[in-house]
Amino acid sequence: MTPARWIARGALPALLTALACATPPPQSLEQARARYAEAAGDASVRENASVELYEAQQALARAESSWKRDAEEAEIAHRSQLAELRVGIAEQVAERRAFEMRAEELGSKRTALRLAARDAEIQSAEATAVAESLRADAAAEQAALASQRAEEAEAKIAGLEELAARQTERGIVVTLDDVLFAFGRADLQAGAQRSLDRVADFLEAHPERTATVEGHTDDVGSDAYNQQLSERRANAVADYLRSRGIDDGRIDAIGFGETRPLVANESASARQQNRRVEIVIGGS
Amino acid sequence: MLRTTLACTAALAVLVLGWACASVPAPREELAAAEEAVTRAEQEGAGQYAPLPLRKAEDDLERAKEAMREERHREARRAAERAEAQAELATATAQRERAQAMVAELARTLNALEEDTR
Repeated sequence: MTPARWIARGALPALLTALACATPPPQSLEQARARYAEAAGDASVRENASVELYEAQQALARAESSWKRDAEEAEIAHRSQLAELRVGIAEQVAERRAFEMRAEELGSKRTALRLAARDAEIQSAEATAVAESLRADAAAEQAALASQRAEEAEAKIAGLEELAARQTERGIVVTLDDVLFAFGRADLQAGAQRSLDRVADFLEAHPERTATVEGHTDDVGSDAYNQQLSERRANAVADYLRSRGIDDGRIDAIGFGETRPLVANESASARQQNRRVEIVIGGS
Repeated sequence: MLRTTLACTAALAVLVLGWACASVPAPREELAAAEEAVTRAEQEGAGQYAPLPLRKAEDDLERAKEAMREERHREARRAAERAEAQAELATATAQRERAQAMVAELARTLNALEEDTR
């Protein structure tokens, strides 16, 4: 081979290549390299935008190869710019996917919270409903009780109405005035029996009730005399009630003599008031 | 021998230059791809969420079309390639912006919900 041919075929291309590799890379290419290196070093980009990162690498490789074969600077600059744009795309895609994952997280949280809030509402509504129903029950019970008591109170008196019975803190008090006894005597007159029958009926109808018969006198006569008289009268009433079938255990007879006057013994009518027998019906 | 070397180098240079200035084909595919990419960016809301990259893409597309009309094919190809890449960047940016906005909105409503249930 002549020297000329040897140069044309071998040495010249080799020389040109050597010259190309010796020149420094243009700034556009160095910039593209740096941006790619930064993105490739970011784990989030590698993980969330691997395909886009690969395309950026390919674009950079095309820029590199244009520099290696010493293409015109405009072409190297152009390809470097394309590579940078591809890197930018990879970065945006990576960020977008990260936001999408975060959105999913938050969406789940929101759903969970909404479900929890709805459950709490349901529970609270149920609790309110239960509380209200309990209140309603309690109110109904109280009302029933009150009405029952009212009925009872009425019934108490109703049976003994005609006897001018009154409700006191001791119980129901039936007062028999002294017309029912002859003067100074302890045997019952006929009228007394009718009244006592009503008391006996009441006691029969209400077996839980007890009767305490209290005898009282005015102040005429000695204390001892009056005491004895009041006892005998109380016993007479108690005996009559027992004779009507009221159990003995339910009846008490006490004499108070002149010790408990209703009113001051200052006039004939006052003394008449004080001469009485009271039947206290208790055990309600 | 040096004259021969110089002559060979000159001939080579002429050949290279000649090749470079002559038959650069019209970049029709690149232009079509660029148009498609810009349309897609608009559809993805780049007008609202990534207006700057979109604008650059549209400008490059215009340059590409103008260069095509004047048969400056190399310039047209480069402009079209740039337009396509810019448009894809605009799309990616718009999508990222929308995802970011959605996260912000979700975080806001979540906050409000948490406040309510306190």
